[in-house]
Amino acid sequence: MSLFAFLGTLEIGLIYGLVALGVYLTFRILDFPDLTVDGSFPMGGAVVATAIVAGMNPWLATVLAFLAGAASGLVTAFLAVRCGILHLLASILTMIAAFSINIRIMGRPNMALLGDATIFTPFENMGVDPTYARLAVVFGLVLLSFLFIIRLLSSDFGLALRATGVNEQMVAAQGGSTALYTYFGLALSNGFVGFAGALFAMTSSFADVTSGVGTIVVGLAAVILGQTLLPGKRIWVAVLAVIIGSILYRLAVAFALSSGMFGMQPSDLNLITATLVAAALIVPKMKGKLQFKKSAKA
Amino acid sequence: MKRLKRLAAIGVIAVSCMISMEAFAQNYKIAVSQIVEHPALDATRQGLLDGLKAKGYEEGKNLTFTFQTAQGNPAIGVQIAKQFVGEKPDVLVGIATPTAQALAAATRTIPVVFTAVTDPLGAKLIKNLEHPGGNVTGLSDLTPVAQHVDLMQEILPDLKAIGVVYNPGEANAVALVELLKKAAKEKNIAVVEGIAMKSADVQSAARIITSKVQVIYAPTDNTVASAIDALVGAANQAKIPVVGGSTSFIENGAIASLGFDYYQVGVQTADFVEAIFKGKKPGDIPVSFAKGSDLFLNIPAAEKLGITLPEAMIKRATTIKK
Amino acid sequence: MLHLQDIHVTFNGGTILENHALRGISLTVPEHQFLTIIGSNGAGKSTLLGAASGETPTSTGRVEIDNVDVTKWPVYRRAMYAARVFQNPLAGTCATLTIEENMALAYSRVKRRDWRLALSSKRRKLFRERISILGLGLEDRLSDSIGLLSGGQRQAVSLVMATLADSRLLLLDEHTAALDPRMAAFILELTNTVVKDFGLTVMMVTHSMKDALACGDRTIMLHQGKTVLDVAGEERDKLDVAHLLEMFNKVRGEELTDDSLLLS
Repeated sequence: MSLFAFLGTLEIGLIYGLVALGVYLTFRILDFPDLTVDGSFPMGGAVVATAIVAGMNPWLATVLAFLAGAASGLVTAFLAVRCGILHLLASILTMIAAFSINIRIMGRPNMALLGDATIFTPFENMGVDPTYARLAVVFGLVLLSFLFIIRLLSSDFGLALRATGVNEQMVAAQGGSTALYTYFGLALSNGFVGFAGALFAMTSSFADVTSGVGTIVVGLAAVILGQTLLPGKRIWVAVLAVIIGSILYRLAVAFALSSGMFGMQPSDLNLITATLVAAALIVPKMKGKLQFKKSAKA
Repeated sequence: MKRLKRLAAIGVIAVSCMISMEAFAQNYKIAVSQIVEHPALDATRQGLLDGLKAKGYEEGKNLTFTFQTAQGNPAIGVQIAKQFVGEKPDVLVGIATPTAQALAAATRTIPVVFTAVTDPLGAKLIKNLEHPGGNVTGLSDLTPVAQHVDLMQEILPDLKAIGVVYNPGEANAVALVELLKKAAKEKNIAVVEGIAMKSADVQSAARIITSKVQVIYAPTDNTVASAIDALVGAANQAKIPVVGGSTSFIENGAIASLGFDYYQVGVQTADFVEAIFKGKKPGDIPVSFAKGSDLFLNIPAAEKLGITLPEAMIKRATTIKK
Repeated sequence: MLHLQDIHVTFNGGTILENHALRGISLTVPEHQFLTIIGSNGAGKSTLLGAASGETPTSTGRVEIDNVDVTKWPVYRRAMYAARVFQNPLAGTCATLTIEENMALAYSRVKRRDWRLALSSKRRKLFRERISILGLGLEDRLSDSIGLLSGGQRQAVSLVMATLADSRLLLLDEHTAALDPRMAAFILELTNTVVKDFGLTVMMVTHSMKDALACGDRTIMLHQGKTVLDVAGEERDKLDVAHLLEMFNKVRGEELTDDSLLLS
């Protein structure tokens, strides 16, 4: 792999690390399988592209993308909490609705940002190699998001959020509204995913409604891969693990794309993803069994 | 003196040898990124490869041809673009809009040739058709939609409504349907839209509109192209003919098609690649539109539906399937 | 402190499974009273507790805590006033969080949960202090996941948690029923200690007539959704399990076939 390709992989891995953060919040923290991300990711891109083309400040446009993602999370939470629709189904409904909404936002399915100023433009023109400048900005933003999440999850509010996914009865008995935490968690999760979508659109210079396909699988793969390789109960370890998982996933994709390596071809990508996730799910169980056998012998 | 002459002769030979050696040894690298694998885009790629071969650039000899498909996922497309740029080829070729955009975004120095992009201006790949500037140029496959409407009317003289199945999520398709509506409106023909978000929806979308239209137009939409057999099947069950936006659809049972064959689009793309190999700057090469208004007819398919194609049309057809 | 007025609760109303669990119960629990509730299975003991905590929606009636009408308040709002310990030791704690994190959750029961760090050194000190009264050595295991503790240990922690935040009403729902006898006795003793130390108002549901009389200062017996006995003071002091059993049989109008359940 060339250096440029490696840096590019790192950049995409970090951006999708934000998706992994979002998926971690819903799947792991809230125990809420949320497919909304397939819609909120392209929504972030659609919003940022439309706003920038309309002349808005790119930073403001990025904030707007975060809010748009959060709004779609709120819709899913509303359907699930208020209307009592099955979690998975509620998120699928939002996801497919988001497809139409994203086309409405842009007025078309694909919107280009080639040549438009993004949040990266000032950094790219600072004189350093734009590839490094962009990577540094992405790294900075992901780092801030990481710090925000671990700080949030160690707060009184975050603690109740974490308990909501495990024991709703206890949270209610301790004076916490589980509905509130579900709304908040889904909004924050999809806000991050929308943010990732915006960064992705700005680094790749286009927003496309089809870019959401499989976001959930990628996010889930990152969460599972990261947490298997970097197990640990501490919250910062878990959050760091999902971001690293995302980078590792992108490296795996890059290897699959380096034609000829291990005789793989690009169309094997889905198979590789499935294998990675399955392996990551099976390995801990195998470990447990082995230990059980050992202790049984002893 | 004699010695000197001999020495000079040897020198000349040596130098010319070195020059020709160098010319022979020159290996051109081209990297092609394609959004998804389906017959029309695959034909484009093959056309490009064959077109280059005809110009003396042969894979394995003096041409390294790298190819990746994003499998319909723009995120993978972006990653492919980064990978390619890192390999520093002489020319990058992006087949279809999102992959071309990803390549253009990934580099400002390596020449990018786009192909099978319907609206390069709208996709912001270039700023100007005549003088693209920058490192991007290429070939637009803007379908002659107005001519397709004429063709459908020629086959069915009292044509009242045209059906079209497309994916509103595809930039190419949306642009084409806009053009179709405009052309049809001028002739007072209604357009009925059938929406297919994914290729599995194409069949049902076609079924829904068959009762309201006399002909179905299959645009060069990636989703439709992937399920063209299902579209033709559903239409023919209802005795409705399909007219194709791409001549490759004839093979799948469309009764008529006017336009270019995507293989030829690929062959024409080779012109851009060659010009860049020869040292021309992409910014100086004007964007061109795919040429070749070939008329393809499929007589057995028409007969099965009880449609007699006009004699004049058969006469001017370039390819007829019998 | 707590006032329940003409409470009716019907489950599965309008269906063949309709169950009129509470039939017009009125009950006032004054401040600092320790009330124990007994009754057979299906008498409505837990439903009555649920009506107080908000877990069970009431069909009619009125619930007041500290003279505030909380009838329409959801569980989490009533938690401002009432701490609870459940029968199932797993229900009252969050298995994936550490002991101190569980305590922090309970600590902020009556507060607005905000951005503040859940585990400050000040809080840790308090938690260590409070949990050490258990004498289980848990003060050195504060950062262990609470899922590692036994049911009895978790129940003990739950009791400590109930006293962390400022509230005067404690609702105990057969909180010793799932424990082995030794642990149950320990928890009951602990209950008496904390109730005394913190001056709590208590409603305790129990299966054990012995415990019902041994603890607290007032006992009510429920049968088919109604109060059939309400004793306190001297009258209660004179009662023993045999008396209670007799009364119990009288109201049921039938001999008990299995009284082991009640004598436990």
